[in-house]
Amino acid sequence: MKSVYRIIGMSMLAIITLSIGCVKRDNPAVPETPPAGLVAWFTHQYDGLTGTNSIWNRYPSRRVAVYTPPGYDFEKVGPRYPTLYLLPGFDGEPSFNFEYGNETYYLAASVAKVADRLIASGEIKPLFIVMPDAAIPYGGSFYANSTLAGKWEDMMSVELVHKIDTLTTTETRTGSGLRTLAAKESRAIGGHSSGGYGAIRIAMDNDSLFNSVSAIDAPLALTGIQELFGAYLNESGITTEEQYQATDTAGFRAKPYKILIYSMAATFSPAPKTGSKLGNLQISLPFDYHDNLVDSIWSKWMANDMYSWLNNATYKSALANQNLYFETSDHDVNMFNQQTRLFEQKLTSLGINYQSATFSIYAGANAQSRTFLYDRLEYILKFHNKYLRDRDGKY
Amino acid sequence: MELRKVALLTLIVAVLSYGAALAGGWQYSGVGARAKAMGGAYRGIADDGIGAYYNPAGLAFLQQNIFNLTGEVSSPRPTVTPDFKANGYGFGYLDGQKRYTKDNSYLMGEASLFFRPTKDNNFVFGLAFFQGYDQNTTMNLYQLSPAYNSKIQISDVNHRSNFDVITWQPTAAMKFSHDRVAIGVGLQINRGDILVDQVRLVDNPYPYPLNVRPYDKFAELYSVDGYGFGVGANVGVQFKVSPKVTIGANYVSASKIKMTGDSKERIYLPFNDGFAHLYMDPQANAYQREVDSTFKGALIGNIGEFEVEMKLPSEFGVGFAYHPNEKTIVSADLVYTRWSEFEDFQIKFKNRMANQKYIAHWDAMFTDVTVPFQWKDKIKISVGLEKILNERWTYRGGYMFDQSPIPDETFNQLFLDTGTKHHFNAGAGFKLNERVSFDAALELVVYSSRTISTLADVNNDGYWDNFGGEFKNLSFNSTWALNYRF
Repeated sequence: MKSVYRIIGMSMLAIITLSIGCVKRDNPAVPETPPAGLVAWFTHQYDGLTGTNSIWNRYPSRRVAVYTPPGYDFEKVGPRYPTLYLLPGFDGEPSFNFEYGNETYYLAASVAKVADRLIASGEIKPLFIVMPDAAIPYGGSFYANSTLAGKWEDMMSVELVHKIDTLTTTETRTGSGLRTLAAKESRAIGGHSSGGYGAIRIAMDNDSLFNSVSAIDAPLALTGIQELFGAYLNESGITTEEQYQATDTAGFRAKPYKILIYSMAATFSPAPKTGSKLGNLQISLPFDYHDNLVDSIWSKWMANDMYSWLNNATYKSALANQNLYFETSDHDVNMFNQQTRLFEQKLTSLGINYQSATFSIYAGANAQSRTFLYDRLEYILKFHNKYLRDRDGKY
Repeated sequence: MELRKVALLTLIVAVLSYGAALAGGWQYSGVGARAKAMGGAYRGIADDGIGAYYNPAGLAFLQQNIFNLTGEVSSPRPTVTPDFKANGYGFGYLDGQKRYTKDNSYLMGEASLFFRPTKDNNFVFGLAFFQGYDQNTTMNLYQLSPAYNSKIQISDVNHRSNFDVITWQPTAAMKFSHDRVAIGVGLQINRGDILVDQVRLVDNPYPYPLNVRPYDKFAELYSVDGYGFGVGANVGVQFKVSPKVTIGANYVSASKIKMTGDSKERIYLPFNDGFAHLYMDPQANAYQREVDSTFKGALIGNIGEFEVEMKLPSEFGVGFAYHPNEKTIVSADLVYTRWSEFEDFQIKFKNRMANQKYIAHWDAMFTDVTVPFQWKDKIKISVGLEKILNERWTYRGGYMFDQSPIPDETFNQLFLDTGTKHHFNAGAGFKLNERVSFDAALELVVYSSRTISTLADVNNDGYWDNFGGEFKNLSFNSTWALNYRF
């Protein structure tokens, strides 16, 4: 009889153990993709590009991408939304086509995903995000007014904002215009790299347009750019005056420092046409082939230095009246991160409030600060969300 | 009659061997119901058929010819909560979500058949079959990032590892010196099976802005399914110090198994209509058209074959058995496993056939796979107790302390040996008659959990070798054996 009990006891123990071991555990559902907004493209012929230099501007008609929040219906009357103007930086690589703003296309495809997720989770309010193409044939416009490359500052501020607020059905190709909240309190501007420079510049020059401003690794203290002049000379193998004058845009796509410096020169120091190849581009560089500063040219660049602009009471006041946010990385090939930090220090010394964050990148073959733009946009959107007024008057 | 019986039992062993080859497990906690019930502290005993696994010398003390048939049910319960991030940046792994293995239980089999052919019964020979290694998990740990925007969804079987090693061990043992000393030698014929599905993150070879996150890494799902054979040896010695005390030791040699089979490599390309817009221009050059094609969300890849070598580690174990009386055995073992010999997997793909090779960077994107291990040598300590209650019933208990050899830098979901394991064992034997007996063992394996918070690339090949996240494991195993003595 005892044997029976033992068999029963052992069997029950085995069954209990096996039962526990075999209980099915269901995996939680994989998160669903949040409702998607739409990126609409429209083309605008900017007034500021008409009649500009043919070398530096071949396309007066430029594309603008606009993110519209999930559920936004162009056809129906509905709520109005605040707007963030997100200015792309520029950069490229061999064989890439600079005549279209590369980063604009990246932002248009990627920012939408960040915004979709944050809107779905309630972390930001629904908004429009406007991403203009401000590229020029050999780089980027720096969002400043130039006789060569175009009046980009004017175009990206008053002209574009007006255009967005009055966009018509036909232009969006999607059936209706944008229902924006056309007020400073419902507008924000930000940008990456030269786009960050543009955002700060436009905000300082137009304090009635935007309520918050942000910049990621932007060249805001131009003295830092001097460190790249030597890199340009090395990159192009320039050791003589003849070589210096004989350089043009040939092979520029493989030369990132040439792209950067020529773009800045086209914007900040246009020059009359001369006989040399460099002169034919109608730009002048603020350094000679020995890497010595040419003061007369450098002073033109410094006239576009945001760090210096803070010495001007009007600009200082304009910036002090806006909500500011800066992001700096720990690895920026152009060292714009250091320039942004210098700018922050100046703001601190002037008693101007701002918010800031730093970010580290992970090591990798191609990793540098711009690789992480997608991730940092989450913080940019969250910042601006705090200062964008919605249709109910709430921030 | 005797010959027919031998033939029949041999056939059964062979059939079971084939069937169990389909089962799964990594170095298993032991084999045999009696031995497992005693926590694997068996090197000083090993006097039944399956003892060939622990110490071939113990077979010399067989009392009768024996046929053993063992079945095991293993129910591992791993839980993985991915946190696969570098500096806080994610890659599409299901970070923060508890994920369970899809499979629940695995069946394994063991068998042995040993004879005492000589009149003095000093010589024993036969065949043991067992599965000493098993790792088996199937998990869905990855989803293409929404921003990746691919039109094709990645398979939900994106992290699977099924590694098995089954062993046929022809073994001979003999005793001498008035039955005080025994030696045993087994030739191990090992069959290794590998079945892996794993996501790895391939660097996007295109330059800026085509390589900006989340496109800086393309998700590659590679799969290999194959097998191979290797040989090794298991030698042992037992010495009866006194009528009450036996000590034993064995050494299992390292064994290299070259495995080949079929492979698939798939890379899920992102869909970015922004980039596609760039190349709508009819004047676009060949490179621009290639980029346009690349960022259309296609699935590209190769099918082909692969080869990989797996080197099983050598192992040295010592144990003793103490018989305080005729009805009781107390045993203990110490095993040193040279896991440092477990060489990196160098999975080499060959005879590849590409589905659409329009990408100039194709060869840079599809590379061989190296899985570095850098495991550490570790010990196992086990203790066991056997108590004969009466002529039919025997009770057993045991415990094993078992360290994980895997460092954080190479720990990933392929081998979920999360940490130090504590094996708690209990079992019983039931003797039906002089010929037939049954043994059963239950085992609870409690693993220390592990958290990997920093991704590492130990061999600097551009791929992270460990897997960020929290790992927990628990395993329930039961073993059931039939012994037939003749």
